[in-house]
Amino acid sequence: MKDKNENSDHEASAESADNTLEDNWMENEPQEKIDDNRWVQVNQAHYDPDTDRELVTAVVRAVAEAKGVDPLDGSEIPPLYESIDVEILEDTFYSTSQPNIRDTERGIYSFQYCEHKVVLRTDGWIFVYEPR
Amino acid sequence: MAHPNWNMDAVLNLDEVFTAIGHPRRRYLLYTLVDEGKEEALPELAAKVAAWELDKTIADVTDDEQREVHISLYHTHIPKLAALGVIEYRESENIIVRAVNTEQVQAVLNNAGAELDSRQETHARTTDERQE
Repeated sequence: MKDKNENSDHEASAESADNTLEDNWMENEPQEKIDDNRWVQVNQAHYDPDTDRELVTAVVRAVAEAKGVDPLDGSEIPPLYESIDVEILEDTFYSTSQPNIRDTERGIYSFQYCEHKVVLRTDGWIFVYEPR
Repeated sequence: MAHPNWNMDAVLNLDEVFTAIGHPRRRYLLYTLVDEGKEEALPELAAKVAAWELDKTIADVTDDEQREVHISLYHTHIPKLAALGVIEYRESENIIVRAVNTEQVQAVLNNAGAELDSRQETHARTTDERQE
């Protein structure tokens, strides 16, 4: 079932009507509703391509935190590269040479990684879901 | 498109070579393995990469800076190079060593010879002065 109103994803977080996400992201608990009910959001983290270093680290840390494991414990959390090459997404979504990509259109990309679903959003939010 | 059928035994094609050397952290790893028979342990290697990137001494690298690099090496750069047969990662010892295609990629790197990279190579080939 697709949510027909895809652009209203952050209206869910109450009165903060139009996009003040940028300014308030620390106060708000952002959400990205995904289009089926098999997943429940368990963590979110913000990646800032201007100040943070690699996207891979931000993604792995968000998932490891959701699982309550050490990001370097390969027995709990295998190399992300076995699931996806995030370097490609880093260039596509968060290119610092074309920063307006992040502002003009909100895109998301989702993939599965060690029993979790991960959604990356062009505004830098990373969402982690586990199966219901 | 992440990883086509890499053939570990064949000579790498140019696309694969450019993938291997297409990130400064991967080039750093390759420079550390210039010397035959050299093995590098991941935690120390991560500290060296962080020191290089942040232009500070290894002793001044914070735990968080070291971990950020360690996570990215473990979760993406090392598996990517290992899939190309450019390095071998030995999980039990947590080290990287030369592999079947190391020499070919290093030959290309030598000819690329930018000034910045030759300083990176010098840095990479020095030994960690911080003995733990």
